[in-house]
Amino acid sequence: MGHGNYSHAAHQAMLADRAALSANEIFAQRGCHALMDPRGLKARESRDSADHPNSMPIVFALDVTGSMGAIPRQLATRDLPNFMKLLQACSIQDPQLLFMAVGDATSDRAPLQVGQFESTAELMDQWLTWSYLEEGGGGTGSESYELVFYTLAQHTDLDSWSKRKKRGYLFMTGDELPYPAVARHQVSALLGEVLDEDIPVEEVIAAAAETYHLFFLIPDLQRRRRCEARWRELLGDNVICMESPDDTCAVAAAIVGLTEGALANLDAVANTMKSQGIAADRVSATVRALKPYATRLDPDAVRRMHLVGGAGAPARAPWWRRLFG
Amino acid sequence: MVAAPVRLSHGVSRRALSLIGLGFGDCGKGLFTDHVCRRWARDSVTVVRYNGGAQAGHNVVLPDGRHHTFSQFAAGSFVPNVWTVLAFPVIVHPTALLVEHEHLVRQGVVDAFARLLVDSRCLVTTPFHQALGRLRELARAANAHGSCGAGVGETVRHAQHRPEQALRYGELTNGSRLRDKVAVMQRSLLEEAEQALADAAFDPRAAPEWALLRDARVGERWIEQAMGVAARVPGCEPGRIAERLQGSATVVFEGAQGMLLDEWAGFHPHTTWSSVGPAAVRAVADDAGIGDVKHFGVLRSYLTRHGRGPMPTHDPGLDAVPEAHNASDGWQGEFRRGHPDAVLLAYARLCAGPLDGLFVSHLDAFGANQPPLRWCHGYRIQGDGDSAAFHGSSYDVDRVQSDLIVGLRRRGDRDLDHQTTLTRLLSAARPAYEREALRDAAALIRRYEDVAGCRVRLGSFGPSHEAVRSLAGLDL
Repeated sequence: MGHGNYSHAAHQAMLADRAALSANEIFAQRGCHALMDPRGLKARESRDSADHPNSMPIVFALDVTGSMGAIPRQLATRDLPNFMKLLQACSIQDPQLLFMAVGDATSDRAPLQVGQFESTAELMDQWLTWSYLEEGGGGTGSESYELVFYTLAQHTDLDSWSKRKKRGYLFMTGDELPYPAVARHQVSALLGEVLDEDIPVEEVIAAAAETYHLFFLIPDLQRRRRCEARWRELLGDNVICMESPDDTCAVAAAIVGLTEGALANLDAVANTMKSQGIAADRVSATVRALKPYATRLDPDAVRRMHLVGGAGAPARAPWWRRLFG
Repeated sequence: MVAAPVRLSHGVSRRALSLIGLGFGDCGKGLFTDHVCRRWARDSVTVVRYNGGAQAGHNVVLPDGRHHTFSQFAAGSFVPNVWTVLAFPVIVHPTALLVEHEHLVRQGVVDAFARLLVDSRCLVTTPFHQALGRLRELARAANAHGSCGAGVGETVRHAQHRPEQALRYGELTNGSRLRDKVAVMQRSLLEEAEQALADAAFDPRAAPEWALLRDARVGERWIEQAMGVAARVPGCEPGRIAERLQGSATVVFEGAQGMLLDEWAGFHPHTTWSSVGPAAVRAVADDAGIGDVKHFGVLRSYLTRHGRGPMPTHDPGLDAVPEAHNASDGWQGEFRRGHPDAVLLAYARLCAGPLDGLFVSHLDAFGANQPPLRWCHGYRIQGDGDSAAFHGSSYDVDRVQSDLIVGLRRRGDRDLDHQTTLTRLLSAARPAYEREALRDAAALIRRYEDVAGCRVRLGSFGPSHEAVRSLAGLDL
């Protein structure tokens, strides 16, 4: 029997158009999708089910301002399946993904978009590609990241938390600062609910942190300067400075693996990534980005690294000793 | 239908022959089709594809080193003036035709579209059929059938299930109607996928297929290409095809796949959605008013199988045999080789009916530095439990000795339960070989002729048509 190569190529051309398409064609929304509009939002629920008894809520809040469009595009064309594969490799049982989009509420038309928690790849993909990449923002040096914390704290309901006291994960990508407080007029305009007063960003972070591990991912080292210091004040070691936006999925999957204890340390991270076919340079970049966070999870790591001659020290003498010793 | 003229106007009597694979495919139909087209190229030659679709892969190598894997165009297309007819019930994949045509142009064949006729009744494969077919195969996981991923089976299945939605080649010229039908098709196939496969295991290969089934823009993209093909090769009425065949001095029916993959004779479920044998040739010939057709069985000097399914004489030791164009890649999976198998040949011959001769390829596989080929003359069943399951069922095996199976039987023309039983039997079968390895091509030919009850007419001793030798003569 034959091969189907020409039909394969023809089919690939229909599929692969996705990779060849511009972001505008994949993300065809030209305004906030009605189902992602947070107005009147009650709660986004992450529920256990017969098929997914150990739901593990993971939220991607993607900065969709002009400078940050690369990450949603990579996710849609390439990385979402890889992310699921990596989570599987980290033995995370039943991940449920929620995609949010965040922009600048002082100037954008759709600065807050909220999908639903989903367990199947195609529905995840659907919410992701329904996101409207407004590419606004700019000017103020801040984006409305605080609205994401507020939404998670006020408007999500997690079985993992209520049944098992397990927190979910937020991975927010961005390269600017949050506004100092959640503005009540914005909450009223976007979500249609009334607050008595503005809420300082520290407070919404504390509220969201009750049910989520919060991470802020800065896409590359150039953009680190703009915002790292402030985010460190707010989130400490949970600010992850990546070397390239390409590593977003690997970093996020590794963080879940490390935090859940499925990956014991950075060596395990590196091995798992390699076994999943991630290029060696991307693996080392991922490991470097995760070092501060992994060190906090395992405070002994640093001491172990400096324990020369103690138990577990390398059996082979260092090269200079072999040369000169 | 117009009655067939016995003689063509210029006084040459028409010859019609079919090439039918007797194995699991990859037997050399491409090579022999190329050869017979060249043999009679002075007069008009038309090659008819009468079964299968874009999953066919018939390799032709020219002495100057050019190579093409023919899929929908006839394997004789390197020969000038040889026409291809895609006859009903072939499943047409228009966008794959475009891709194949581009490949042919690169090999120096620039006029293949001008030498192509497509029956307007032929079913057409859309990307949605292909996506759903692939999702089904992925959902089978370990129980995969060995699909080529070309969407052929899904196209047939859907047309049986929803005949009113079936899309035919003749409809590709009517844009507005085509748009409506394709939209309905997409919705219907997506619904089916959601109902049948919603909880299929997460496989990274599934995500793009789901995305395609849900993508509202794919239909339009496909329609544009498919209409482009139909503009170059408009579907033709059966009468036009009959005219072409009746006006040809030589009509070659080029079979796809092989008898052992036939939808009813093959080992269910590792089969193709297509009828392979002489009866399928006869149906198309009758439709076109072509009289006598001589049927030739095509096979290699050893057995091959591409993709899943039982193969008792499989021997990894034979992998040293060079194979230029059948790598174990893509959708089908592993390419396996096995020793020549008398039981399967006898069974293929039984399913095909009487043949006028055999064409045997790869007769150069007997050499000092080639792995020896052994003749399998029967099977023993592995393990007591398995043998108990089969010894009682006298209908499915012939046994000369108490424990040696030397033949498989058929039960009715369309009994898939029986075919499933045969699949189980073959999976448990342990081949019994002659003590000595086959000494040379002559020893193999003698045995093939005994089992098939006909002469080996042509044999090939190399990759191109130049290496084909007339053995018992081709008296046409």
